[in-house]
Amino acid sequence: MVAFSMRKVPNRETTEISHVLLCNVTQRVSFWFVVTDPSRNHTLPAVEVQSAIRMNRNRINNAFFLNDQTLEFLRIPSTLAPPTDPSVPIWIIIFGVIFCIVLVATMLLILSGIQQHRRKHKGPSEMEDTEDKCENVITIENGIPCDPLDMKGGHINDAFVTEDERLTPL
Amino acid sequence: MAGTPGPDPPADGGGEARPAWDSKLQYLLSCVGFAVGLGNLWRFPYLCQTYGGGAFLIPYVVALAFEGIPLFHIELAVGQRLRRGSVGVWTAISPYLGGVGLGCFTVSFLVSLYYNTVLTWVLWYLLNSFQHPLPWSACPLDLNRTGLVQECRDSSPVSYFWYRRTLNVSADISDSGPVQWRLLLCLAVSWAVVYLCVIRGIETTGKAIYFTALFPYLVLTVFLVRGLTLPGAMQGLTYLFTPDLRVLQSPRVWLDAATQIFFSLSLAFGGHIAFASYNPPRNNCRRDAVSIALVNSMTSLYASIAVFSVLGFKAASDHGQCLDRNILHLINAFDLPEQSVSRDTYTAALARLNASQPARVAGLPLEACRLEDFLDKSASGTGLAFIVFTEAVLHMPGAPVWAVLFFAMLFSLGLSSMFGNMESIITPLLDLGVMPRRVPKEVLTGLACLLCFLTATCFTLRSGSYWLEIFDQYAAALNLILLAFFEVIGVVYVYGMKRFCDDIAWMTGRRPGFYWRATWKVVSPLLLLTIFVAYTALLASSPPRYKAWNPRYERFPSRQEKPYPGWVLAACALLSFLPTLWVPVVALGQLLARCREKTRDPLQDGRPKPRGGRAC
Repeated sequence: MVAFSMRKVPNRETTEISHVLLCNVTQRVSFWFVVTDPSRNHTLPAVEVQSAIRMNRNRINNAFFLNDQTLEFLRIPSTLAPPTDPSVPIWIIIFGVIFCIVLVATMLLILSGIQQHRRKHKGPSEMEDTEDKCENVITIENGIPCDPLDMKGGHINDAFVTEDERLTPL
Repeated sequence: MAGTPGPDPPADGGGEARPAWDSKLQYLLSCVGFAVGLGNLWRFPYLCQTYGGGAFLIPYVVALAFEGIPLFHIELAVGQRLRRGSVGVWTAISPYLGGVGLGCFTVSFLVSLYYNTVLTWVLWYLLNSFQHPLPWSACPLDLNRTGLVQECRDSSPVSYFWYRRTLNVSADISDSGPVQWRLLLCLAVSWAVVYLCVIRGIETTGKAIYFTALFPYLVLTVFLVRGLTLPGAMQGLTYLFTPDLRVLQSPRVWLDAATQIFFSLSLAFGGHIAFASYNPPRNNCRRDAVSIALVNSMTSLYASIAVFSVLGFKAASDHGQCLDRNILHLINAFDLPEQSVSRDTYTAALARLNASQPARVAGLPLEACRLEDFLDKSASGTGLAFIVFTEAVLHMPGAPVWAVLFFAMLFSLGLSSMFGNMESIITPLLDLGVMPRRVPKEVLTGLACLLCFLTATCFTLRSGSYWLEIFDQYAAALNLILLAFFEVIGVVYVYGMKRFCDDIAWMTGRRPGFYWRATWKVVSPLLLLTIFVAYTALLASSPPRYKAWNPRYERFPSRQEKPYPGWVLAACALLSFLPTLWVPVVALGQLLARCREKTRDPLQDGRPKPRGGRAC
């Protein structure tokens, strides 16, 4: 793999496997290596080797089914893959959807409110409304509240409740 | 007592009936939705955890029985009888007490400002949850793509997303920075949703509440089921609920229980008064008060079970990762075969290696991994929701789904509380007749929401979250306690206990028993006074400080404790007392007006005035 990487570098197309020398091989698969030039006279500078490895890092990893965390080259920082940025951030899309829905619903409610308003002003007295009002408004006579007969609570007869206390004591 | 004019029944001008609930269920759901809010989810579990687990329930129940339920009953009864919003009710009981209503109104306004800002943050997270992987799962890359962003690497992806990508928080409260346009957009949508739901008062909130009050329970159940089936959940539950009765000796527990009940039920906001004023006059408000208070407390418990099971899972997975890191160190150092040491055999392997080669073992950077340490990491408030829980959600399979569910639940929990807040702002405005009759209600609610939105933009500055903490601590707490105290005193001693009991007997069919009368007359006012004094003492004992997120701090990612600058302290003091100042101001104003009337017309002194057939 190392030889293959070196072959990708211009001027180094003739690197062979025999030009890669290993040393310090340990049980847990770690080793030092150097690459010599074809004449085997001197080793290539580290910078060149590092840049070559970095270019083909992905291929080396895939050949061993490893990744940058499990196959480490000392002193070669990994170039991290950029995150996939969609052209429009996702939150703006959802925001647009929600905003449009809220806007449309508000418009509908306002329009229906205006319609109701107009209808109420056109029809002067509608009996249903007054009947509804009777249930909730406490009628006032002489400044004293007295409650109409309660339609719902049948077990308390208002006529016989001690309403006397609400009238003027003399 | 004879001189106090009786409560005038509301003369809704213009011939329009007071709006009414479509059904009793709507009313109950609205009150439950108002009471059940974000605090049930992120404050109660934290208190349970800090104060000895199950033992915290004892002061909680005591506070509920002697403070929560009696005060709640008073609010519902008074609103239902006098059929007005908070300002109208207190003015009707006595003109001198009108300031209480105005104080409630002001506090509701201040609270709705910052509460909706929290909903804005929740909405932002909700919008960002619709993607996989979640944006807070990994750190972004730095500029030359060789590593991760420094700030994120030092803290954690979740904290980075919260402090930098969401809040873009500044390092100091005086450094306001520009308005964050993302948060501003979310704030606009948040207020638009609130406006949509309160546009016609209870007519529209009554429909919306069916969803916003019930949806959180559904999601809580789903989370409960999911949480209980996760590994580590049971350890979380047992550890966090195991009672430690020794904590009951510290008075701080009782204070926190009392304040938690108080704020949890949303008392003294005026919202419950407003809701009850739309009831038919004969309605069993006592049963409503007890049932709603109990539902609120049950929800707190239910939520804390769900929360603790998820937190237990998170602690277990963090503990497992800690063990994995230690195992990796051991394997690397001693050249052991891969996977020869598992999480279960780690302690035995460590002991064996320590016995044979202690020097080498001592040189390794091993961390102490104890499950209890991870379980003890408690958080409340925004820390729980936006940092701890979001991290827990990352480990669950199908993370975006759980994130969407969680934040949707938080949003609807907060929204239903916002309905109550807005009701306590809008109903007094309507009752006071601020706008002419011709102007439709939609315009009034629109103006109110617009004003709140514009004022709340100050929370979207870079220092916004520091200001929100200030509002949370100072604007609401003391004012509500004082206002509630005035409420109880006003009803029991100014309106008259006898008259109040008569009213309740007329509305519910039964006079209040000894428990009610005793708590109203003696226990609740005393409790409120004690809480006020203790709370003030607590706030005054330590100089107010805040925790700033400063990447340049030496001990980053710990937050830097800084004191507030002078002008901020002045703002805190103003917030703490301004709403309650309405009470003496209005009382004095009324006194002066009466004196001026008497001096203007001295003949009227001492003679009985026949006024339309009613004797004074």
